[in-house]
Amino acid sequence: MEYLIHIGIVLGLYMILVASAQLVIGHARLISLGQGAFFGTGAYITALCMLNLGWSFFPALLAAVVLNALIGLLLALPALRLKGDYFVLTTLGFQFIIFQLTVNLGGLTGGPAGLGGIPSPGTPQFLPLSQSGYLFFVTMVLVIIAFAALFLLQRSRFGRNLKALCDHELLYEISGRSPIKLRAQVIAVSAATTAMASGVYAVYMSYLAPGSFNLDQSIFILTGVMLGGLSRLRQAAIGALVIVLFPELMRAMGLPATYGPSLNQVFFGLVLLILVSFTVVKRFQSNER
Amino acid sequence: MTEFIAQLLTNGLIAGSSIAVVALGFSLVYHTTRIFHIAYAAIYSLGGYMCWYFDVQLGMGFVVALCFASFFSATSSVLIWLFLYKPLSRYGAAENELMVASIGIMIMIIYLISLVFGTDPKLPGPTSDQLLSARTLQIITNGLLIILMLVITNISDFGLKLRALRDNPHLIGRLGINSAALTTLLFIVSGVLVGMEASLSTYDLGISPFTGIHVFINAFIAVIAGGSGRVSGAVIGGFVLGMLQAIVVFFAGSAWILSVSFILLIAIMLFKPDGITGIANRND
Repeated sequence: MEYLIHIGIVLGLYMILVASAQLVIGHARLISLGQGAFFGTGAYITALCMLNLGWSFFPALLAAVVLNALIGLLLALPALRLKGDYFVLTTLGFQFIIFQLTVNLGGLTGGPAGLGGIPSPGTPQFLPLSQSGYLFFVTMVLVIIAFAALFLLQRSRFGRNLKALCDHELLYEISGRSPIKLRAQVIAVSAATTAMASGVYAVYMSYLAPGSFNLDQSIFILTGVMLGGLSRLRQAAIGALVIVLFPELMRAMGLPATYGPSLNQVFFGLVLLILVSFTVVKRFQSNER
Repeated sequence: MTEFIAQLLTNGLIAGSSIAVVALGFSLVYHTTRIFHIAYAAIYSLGGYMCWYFDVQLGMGFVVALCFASFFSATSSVLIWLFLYKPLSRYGAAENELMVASIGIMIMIIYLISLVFGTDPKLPGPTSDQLLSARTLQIITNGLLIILMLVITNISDFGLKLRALRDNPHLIGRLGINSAALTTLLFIVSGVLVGMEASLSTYDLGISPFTGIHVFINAFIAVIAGGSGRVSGAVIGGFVLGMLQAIVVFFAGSAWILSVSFILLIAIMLFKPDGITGIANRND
């Protein structure tokens, strides 16, 4: 039962992470390799607010969401002034910077040893749930909030603008709107929803290490997005399901921990290659007909 | 004091020249084919590991190892072009799709390396019996490479054809130039460049699977800083970044290199998106 709850929480978190990344990659057509870093900043902000400022969980989570959106804007506004291609490298750089900062700013983040002792949010009296059961409940509520927000956003004026931008960037610009501003907003929203997942991650793990938010994490999320699909939220959910269950399956098959993670990454790289080739060839054939 | 400044200048020159070579290779491919070749980072790591394997592990000496490393880098570079980018472009892949494919192959190569060699950094072998120190070798070779590449791209027939390929890939075929062979040659050149550079830096500092990505991020910052429209921009950007890094290492320690470089990147994107040389990206 505990194991199922654990899988449930992790799955919920990755549903949020993949859906947030899908907004950037699928709807704004910007490949991002920094989703893992946004995941990390959110987690560290939540943890630091709880540890250093003594806040309780929900205010800390809110702070993480707001600050992460701000970090997203600060990164995106300069990065998007260049050609779209360069965005991917800026996010890749951001990914490594966040890792270096969490290692180097030892006084604040605990350095390479990590940040431990993050208090768990107390279960309210009226809920007959265990600690992890309560966190599962919180995760599910956050998944619903995040998915509802992303769904409404895509149906709103904002979403229609985004569609217009992707269909024809030049026309969009000619109609007097700024592509940079819209894309930056997308990245801010995505960073904000990512922070929801990272807040829960911080209190659930009660310990944060810089290594949890490195490039592997970003590739993991990117694979989830590509596996599920680029347009619909339910595709993000499916992608999350696959990437969460796959390593569990590998572990169940008895893959040694020494080279298991590397092998998983090789597999994800292969999946990305095959998916792209498949999409391209399929589109080519349907155009031929 | 003068000794200190000389030391700083040498460090900056070495760091700058090696960034410049990698940036050159990347910007040549990127500006000619419009393929965002992120797998370049993995090819760097592969070259470094091959050099370490043949030099330290098998003890065949640095020169032989350098040749092997360049060979493997060039081969993997060409294979990626022939079996990934080329068919995908023929099927009309968008730039984003090529980029994801490139990310995929980068991840595969880097993690295959860590599967085979382990994730711990590999240190260079003992160099006391060598004729030239690693750093002298770096300065000389990088300098020659940079001058050679600048001459090739600006003066030679090959460079002229590359520019023609960049400006109009369809027209160049009508002129009787085999553009596929030209691009293959381009990928060989960029592979050799990155393989040699990776070997030189491995010979001096050693290598780990992610070194390639670090170097690649630096090279990218150099391309942006120098002005992305022209090949020489990458060289200027590389030297500026190298100098900056040497100063950072001296005053703050090597842990802060990437952070300061990133701040430089953000500042340039904010205030001077065309780069230091002010050459606008003419492919826009």
